[in-house]
Amino acid sequence: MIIEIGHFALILALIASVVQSVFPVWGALKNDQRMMAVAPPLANAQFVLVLISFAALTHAYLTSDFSVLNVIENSHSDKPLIYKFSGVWGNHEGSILLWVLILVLFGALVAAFSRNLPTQLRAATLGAQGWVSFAFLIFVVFTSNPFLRVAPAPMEGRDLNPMLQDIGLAIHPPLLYVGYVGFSIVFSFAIAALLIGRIDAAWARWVRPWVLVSWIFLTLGIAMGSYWAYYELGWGGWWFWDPVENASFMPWLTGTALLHSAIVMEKRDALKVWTIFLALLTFSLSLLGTFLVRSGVLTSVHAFAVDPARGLFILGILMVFVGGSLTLFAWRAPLLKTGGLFAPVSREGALVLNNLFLTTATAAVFFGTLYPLALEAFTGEKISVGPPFFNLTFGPLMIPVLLMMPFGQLLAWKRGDAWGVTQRLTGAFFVTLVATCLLAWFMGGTGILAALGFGVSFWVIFGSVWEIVDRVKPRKVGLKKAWSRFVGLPKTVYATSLGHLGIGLTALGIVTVSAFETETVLTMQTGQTQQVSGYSMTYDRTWDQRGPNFVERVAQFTLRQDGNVAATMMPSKRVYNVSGQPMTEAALYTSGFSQVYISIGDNMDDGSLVTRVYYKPLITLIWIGTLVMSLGGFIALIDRKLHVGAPQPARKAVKRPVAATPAE
Amino acid sequence: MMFWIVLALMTAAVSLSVLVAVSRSRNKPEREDNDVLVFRQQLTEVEDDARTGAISPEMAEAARTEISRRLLAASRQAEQRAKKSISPASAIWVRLAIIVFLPLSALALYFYVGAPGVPDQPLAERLAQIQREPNLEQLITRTEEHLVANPDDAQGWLVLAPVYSRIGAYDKAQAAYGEAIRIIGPNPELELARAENMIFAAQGQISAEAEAMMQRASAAAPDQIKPKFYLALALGQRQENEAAIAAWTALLEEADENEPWVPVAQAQLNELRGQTNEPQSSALATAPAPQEGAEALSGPSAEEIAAAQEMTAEDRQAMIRGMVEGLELRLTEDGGSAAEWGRLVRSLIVIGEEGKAQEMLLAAREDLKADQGGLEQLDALAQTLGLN
Amino acid sequence: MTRKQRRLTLIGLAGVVLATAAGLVLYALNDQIVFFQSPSDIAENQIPAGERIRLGGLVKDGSVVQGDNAQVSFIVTDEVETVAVSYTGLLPDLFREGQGIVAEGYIDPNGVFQADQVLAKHDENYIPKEVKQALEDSGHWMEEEQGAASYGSSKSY
Repeated sequence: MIIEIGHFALILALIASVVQSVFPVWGALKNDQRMMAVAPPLANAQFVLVLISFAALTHAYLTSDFSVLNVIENSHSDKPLIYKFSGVWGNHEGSILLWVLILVLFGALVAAFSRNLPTQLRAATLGAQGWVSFAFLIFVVFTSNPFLRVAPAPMEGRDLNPMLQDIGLAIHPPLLYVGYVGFSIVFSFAIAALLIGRIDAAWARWVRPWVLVSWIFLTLGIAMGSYWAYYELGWGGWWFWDPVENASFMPWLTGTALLHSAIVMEKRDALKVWTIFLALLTFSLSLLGTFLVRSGVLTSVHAFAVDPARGLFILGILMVFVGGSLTLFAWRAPLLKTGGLFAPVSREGALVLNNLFLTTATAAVFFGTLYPLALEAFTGEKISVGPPFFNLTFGPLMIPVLLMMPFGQLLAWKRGDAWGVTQRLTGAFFVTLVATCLLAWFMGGTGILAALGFGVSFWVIFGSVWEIVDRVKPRKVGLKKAWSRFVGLPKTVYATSLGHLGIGLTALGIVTVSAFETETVLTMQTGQTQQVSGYSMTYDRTWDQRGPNFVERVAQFTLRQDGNVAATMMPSKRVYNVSGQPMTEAALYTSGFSQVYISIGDNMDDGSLVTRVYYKPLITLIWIGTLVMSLGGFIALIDRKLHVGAPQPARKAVKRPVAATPAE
Repeated sequence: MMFWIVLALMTAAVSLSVLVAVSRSRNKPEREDNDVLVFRQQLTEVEDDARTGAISPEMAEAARTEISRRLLAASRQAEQRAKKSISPASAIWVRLAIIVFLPLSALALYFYVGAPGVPDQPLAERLAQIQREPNLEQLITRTEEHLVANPDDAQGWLVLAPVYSRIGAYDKAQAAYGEAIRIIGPNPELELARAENMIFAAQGQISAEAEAMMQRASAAAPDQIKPKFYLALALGQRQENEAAIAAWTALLEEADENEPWVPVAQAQLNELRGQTNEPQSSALATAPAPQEGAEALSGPSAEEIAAAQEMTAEDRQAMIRGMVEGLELRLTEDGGSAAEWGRLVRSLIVIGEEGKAQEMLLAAREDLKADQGGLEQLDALAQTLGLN
Repeated sequence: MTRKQRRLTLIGLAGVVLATAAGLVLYALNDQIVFFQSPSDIAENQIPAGERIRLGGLVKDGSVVQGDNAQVSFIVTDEVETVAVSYTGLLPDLFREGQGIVAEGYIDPNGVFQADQVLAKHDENYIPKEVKQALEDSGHWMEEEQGAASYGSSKSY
């Protein structure tokens, strides 16, 4: 009964989304209060209904109800409870349902928090949100329905892909989806602004927190996915420029651009049209990501053509939303009033430059991701666009962004003083130089590229905290005064500094790992000891043991540094009972920010064990950096101030207090 | 029922929440002070920042100027918008959508894609269910209930009939076959099965009806031995000894000696010959009295033949046990001939129940104390079997 | 600076950045794209030694030979032509004889493919017989079911 109630709730939610798609927007255009009034209760109802349906599916998984096709295909009664739970979204149907759940959750949040919004804007936003949820609910019900039943029910299921039986799966997709889907709210806000034909200050004020929330979760989701791939796939890579990764990375790039342009819009009333465009673009890229991952087009163009129902459906959604929103944009954007003016050298100017580079970089990634697909679809030729392509195109585009970051942070709004800022950053420059030399020396010499990489990373790290140092001026005013100044700094200063610091840390991790990681493949006999990157590693023994739904061969290694035992590491190789699928579980040892990573292969005929050992210097900084970034975003989010970018007055401010004429 | 109530409640809750919101909404003019509000708050914040020294006084002044300018622009726009006319409410469409469209289309779509009323089937419950399953009685009861509701389900009757036969409810079994024949139409195989069960139910007596069915079955499949076997028995029962002897001889000529029914047929033949000529010492110690003998022997033997072809060793053992118990029950309650008692005791020895055999021997002596010949037969049997 | 000048500056800057990006993309496309070849393609096209390619096909049954120090050689076939492959390192979990793989590397002067990366395609369509039976009986079984529909499947092949 519970399953069928869940199914009905899902369908009722679909019908509710139909109503929500029609009346609020209609009402907003006609300024009819009654029609607009249906939006908030319907948004809430959809959330409750999809929640019921998600809970029902979860219940089916937890009780191993094999009368549900989806449970048969992705679960097994022996599976540990946590994976029964995470298995709910470890498959196509369930993950789309989770997608929809988060979508309607955001709808309900908007309904709850938007009482102060102009009613028209609120209704139009919720209406546009209704379109999105309608599209995806239709998709779930008709092509990806997780509630289909099977009679007679088999006694056992097919089990979840072992690779997905990991705590990473429990966390990674929900985070990522909150990010993806959160941008739908921003999209809906943009659509609403276009429909109504005006962007007021409230709009600007409203959009930024949603951008921030989505951006934070997307950042964490991508980082989590990267770490998961790193330890679960067993070969130590943390980013593959794989289309699935790019699918989440592209919205992140434009989302980051959006985050910055939204600041300009909120503080300075400028870049409105551009912000709207970025909002549409970011969600479009989220949809593109969903299409790439969910349609099967990535596995092979052929597979997509064979069972095109799902793929074509998402492609349809993608085209309608992207095409429709861009058309609406082209039609309505000229009506929008543009806002404040600024000089090229100013905070705004720097942010425009940031946006320019970020969107260009997105375009490069977009090209590299879709070109092979297009080529295969049209000419049948199969090529692989791998990391070298992306490193060569994306990398150079990021370097100017990183170099300019500390400058942008210090430039004043409206018109900046480039020379003054350079002078203020001299300190940071010298610290960077010293730190780079020290690290290069510590690493025992380095190539020119790695040295430059260190330099840029440290420049971002020190440059981003320099604003705080510069404003507090501890050496001039003494520690006590400095502390009170530090505490008194506006939260946005912390937010910016932390966000940029995170980028610097991640960059440092990436540069160090890329330049200095070592990989050693060894064939080891029991009791043998090998030297690996300053550690001596002894292969103690192997044994077999039984897990809940797998058997595994565990190898034990003792890692010693200067004769002292640093760690006992136990990588293993599992074979899952149901699928017979083997799975390598790596063992990690973290020391400082660096890691030793061991994964094992098969036993050779003579009983020796093939072992792969990596030394990954400073690798954890990659993920620590993303956490710091997110923390910066979080601080910006809880800052309740309305943010006015106080402009630097023109030099003859007394005579001409208003340098720029009002817009238009 | 509960299910539909839940569905109705969910739908009603959604509809009501929307209807309430719609009726509460007034066509009040748009509140246009949002922008103004934002700008005022911005102004206050600039003051705060200027006071704490976060921004310089000049910057604060410039910011104030800018905000004031935007404030002015915003209020001008708001005035313009406020002048716009407000269209009348078309609440009827909204209400129609909520009250009619929402529930109906949800229900229709659910009927289209859903599986209304299909219960949950959690694995734990199903496993428990399976452990209970071997309980034959429950199965039978469930099937019976099903057939009461669907009396024309031939498949159901066909499932039930052999089960009845297996548990010794021959009368019910033949009735079930009868129902199946009623639905499917005359069918030699089913008639054979029905006739056999009628014979078992009549404790070996072959009625005219059963014989007619046997004849039809035999005509349909002349190679089959079973109908011929029963027809031969029937002849014997009707004392048409010559014809019976001919029938048995014909059967035995074609038979493989290892077939389970051969000894029975041989015994019958011997007996019939004995009746026509002189009494012969039977191969079976249970050489029966003329009328009762056929009855006592025919039922079980025939059943054995019918079942042995399909049964596993365990099933066969269980079936024999069931038959022995049936016989035991009948004899202890109603009494029987010396041949019958002898057969029971012998069977008990065969299935390894010596204690029980001893007990039954005593019961037989008690039952037959008036019958001197019978007692002598029992004594002789006891001696051969090593009982006292 | 006037509004027009400002706009021109911006457009000019955007043009420069985009042109740079386009240049980078074109250069990278020329240099960093790796073509996917089957053993038949290799036999047909006379690929020069040293050029990086991706080789795809099935691991021939009985062809896997373990050498010293984790060196492995095996033969990749597409049922028409074959290519000998040499690789040093850990093979992926799903590497098995008869299994489809993709190897990246180059052909050395002796005609042996020197792989520096071997990827095994995940076969997610494993299924216990009885379950398959049940699915078939209930009409829910599709032979062409997309294995890739599972989340994150293509992350590593």
